[in-house]
Amino acid sequence: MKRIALLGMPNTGKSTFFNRITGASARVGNWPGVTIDLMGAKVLIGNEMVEIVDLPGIYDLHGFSDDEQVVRHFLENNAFDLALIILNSCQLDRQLSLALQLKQLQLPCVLLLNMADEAKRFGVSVDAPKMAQQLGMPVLMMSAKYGEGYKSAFDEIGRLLRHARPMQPERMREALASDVEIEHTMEQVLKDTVQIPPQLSDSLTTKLDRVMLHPWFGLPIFFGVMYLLFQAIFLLGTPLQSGVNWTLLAFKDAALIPLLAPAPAWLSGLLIDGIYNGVGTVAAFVPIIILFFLFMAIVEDTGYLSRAAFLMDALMARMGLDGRSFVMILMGFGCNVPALMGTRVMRSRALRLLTMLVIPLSLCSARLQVFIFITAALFSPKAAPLVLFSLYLVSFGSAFLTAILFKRRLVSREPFVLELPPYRFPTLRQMVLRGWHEVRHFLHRATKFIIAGVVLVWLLTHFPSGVAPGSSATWAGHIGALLAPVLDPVGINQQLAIALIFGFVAKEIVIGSLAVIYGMEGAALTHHMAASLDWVQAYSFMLFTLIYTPCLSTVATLKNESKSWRFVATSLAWSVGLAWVSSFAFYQIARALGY
Amino acid sequence: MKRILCDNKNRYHLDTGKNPYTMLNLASLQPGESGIIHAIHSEQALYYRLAAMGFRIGKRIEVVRSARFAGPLHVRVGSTDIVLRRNEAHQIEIASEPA
Ligand SMILES: Nc1nc2c(ncn2[C@@H]2O[C@H](COP(=O)(O)OP(=O)(O)O)[C@@H](O)[C@H]2O)c(=O)[nH]1
Ligand SMILES: [Mg+2]
Repeated sequence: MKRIALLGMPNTGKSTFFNRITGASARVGNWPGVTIDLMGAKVLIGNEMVEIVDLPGIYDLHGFSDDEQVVRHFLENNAFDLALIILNSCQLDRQLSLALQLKQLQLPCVLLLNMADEAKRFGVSVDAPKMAQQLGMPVLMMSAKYGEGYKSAFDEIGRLLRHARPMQPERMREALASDVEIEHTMEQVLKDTVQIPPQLSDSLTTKLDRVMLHPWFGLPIFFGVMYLLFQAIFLLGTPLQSGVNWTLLAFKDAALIPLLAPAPAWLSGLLIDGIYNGVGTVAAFVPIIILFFLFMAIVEDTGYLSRAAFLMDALMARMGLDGRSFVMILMGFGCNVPALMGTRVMRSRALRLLTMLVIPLSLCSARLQVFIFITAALFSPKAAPLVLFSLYLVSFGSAFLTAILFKRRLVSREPFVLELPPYRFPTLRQMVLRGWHEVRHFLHRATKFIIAGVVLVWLLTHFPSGVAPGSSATWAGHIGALLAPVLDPVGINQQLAIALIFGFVAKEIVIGSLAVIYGMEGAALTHHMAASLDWVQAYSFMLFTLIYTPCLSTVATLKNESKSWRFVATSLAWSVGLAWVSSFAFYQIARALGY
Repeated sequence: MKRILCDNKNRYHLDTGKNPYTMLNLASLQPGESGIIHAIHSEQALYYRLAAMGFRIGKRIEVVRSARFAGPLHVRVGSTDIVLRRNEAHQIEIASEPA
């Protein structure tokens, strides 16, 4: 099968183009370092299947940071037939260098000048045919985001592919080893073919930046915006959540229970009280999660994250981190796994490790589900948002504390140089793609972890047979009793302890297993929890859940990215220890104060 | 656009009297000021990264703003806006035009 590679500097729209041509939903973001691994998909071009590979951005063929290594490794080990070089038309004055470097490798390539829409808006004009002539490769203008010029680019790719001969990896290895010097040619081509207004300025971006990056108000505005976004998510998400809950309950009562009536009690128990209740309780959070990621996609796409890096860098520097670390922490609010992988843009190992040490403390969307669930059960509607907000503060606080304590061991002198892209706004299509992507991700986790988790919990809380479900005579009860000496002082009872154990695998299982442990779902479950726990216990449990350990996938990613079991062990020991100490301090002080 | 006129902090003359240019480093420019990149004294990896971002000898660079608490600078080179720390900015030598 023929193969096409997408090459270009970071943030030029490679993933956007990839999504358009393959119909895939690779993550797009207005932030360099969103794509950190290869992603391949097959499409029909002309009448043959072609594999298209989306790659991380590279600045040049000289230095390679970890994410750029992926590209080098790919180029050196895979034959491919065509390289699509994607550049930002508005930044040809510097990006053309990459095209020239790649040309010197004698790759079969096409130059796609992306963001034609922005070029038009900013008054940049390019003489594409003339550039093609001078560079000796096809040059096409297009807009991957809005589709303009895409059709002709697609046709051209098909035409070239018919004649293309694959580039062999051995030759590529030789070519990459030789140094390339192109300064002079670049000046010449630019002079002849590109017209950039002397004052290229995006007035919208300039105006917005004057407010968003204001020396005094920039940071307060940033945190204000974040706060409002969270408010909006709950305002819109909570009714949807109750809707899903209601539908699931109605379905159970109307169809599932009558249907399973003839089945043996253990089977209907497993299917209804175990799987259906467990998974259903988690599924009710899907609308909130989708909303969450839609908002996240918007924030990522606007380019505000790079601004956050600018605003926070001075503070992060004092903690041994940099502005990018802060952005990774924010990305970790969605899911810790891609945030950990995003640290590949850092070259210094010490900085990477320190950032990876703090990311697991950021309150990810799975933990958010647990907290929404518990705060809704145990706090008044007025207090609940404040309680949630306080958990975000704890998340930041514990991350900062960790960095401060470990920065002496992980000292780096990594330079901090970051592009500030113009503000952009995602199209509806991009948002839908992202939302769909998250649903799929959830379904994937649901089938992999959540069902297995709730089934196990059900078994543990219902066996050995003959004992009262959920009582201390069950296996779960025994485990709980074993942990009691450690967890009693922090106010975590046996039921919650079981949930915590499974929460190690994935946080979604925590609420799923609570539903199974208590043998209830929806409103009945929340009422029951409110009756059997007080708020001090609940908050202590949430503190523990927030800090103790993210989930199995995060641990696996920590290992993959750090390539060190010692680091993983340190990270786990530190977070479990910190979790216990924080919960202990909170629980004992609250009790001592008479709550 | 304001040109750099004079600044007593980090400046020195290459050849007093004859050479009309004044050498500064990027970190000593104030927001709104601009100059020409004269030399980049960075280690290799950073040098190439800066070059790929548009930092080339002879190009005009403008400091747009700087962050509070000795935070990074926001600069504009050609078509690209870039954030960099003062530490890195110190390594970039700027020639201001004759006053
Ligand atoms: N205006 C405009 N924005 C685009 C275009 N293509 C991509 N973008 C935006 O540029 C940013 C980077 O896109 P992405 O595909 O993640 O770039 P990558 O890093 O090269 O994979 C995102 O905010 C996209 O929405 C385009 O043709 N026009
Ligand atoms: Mg990408």
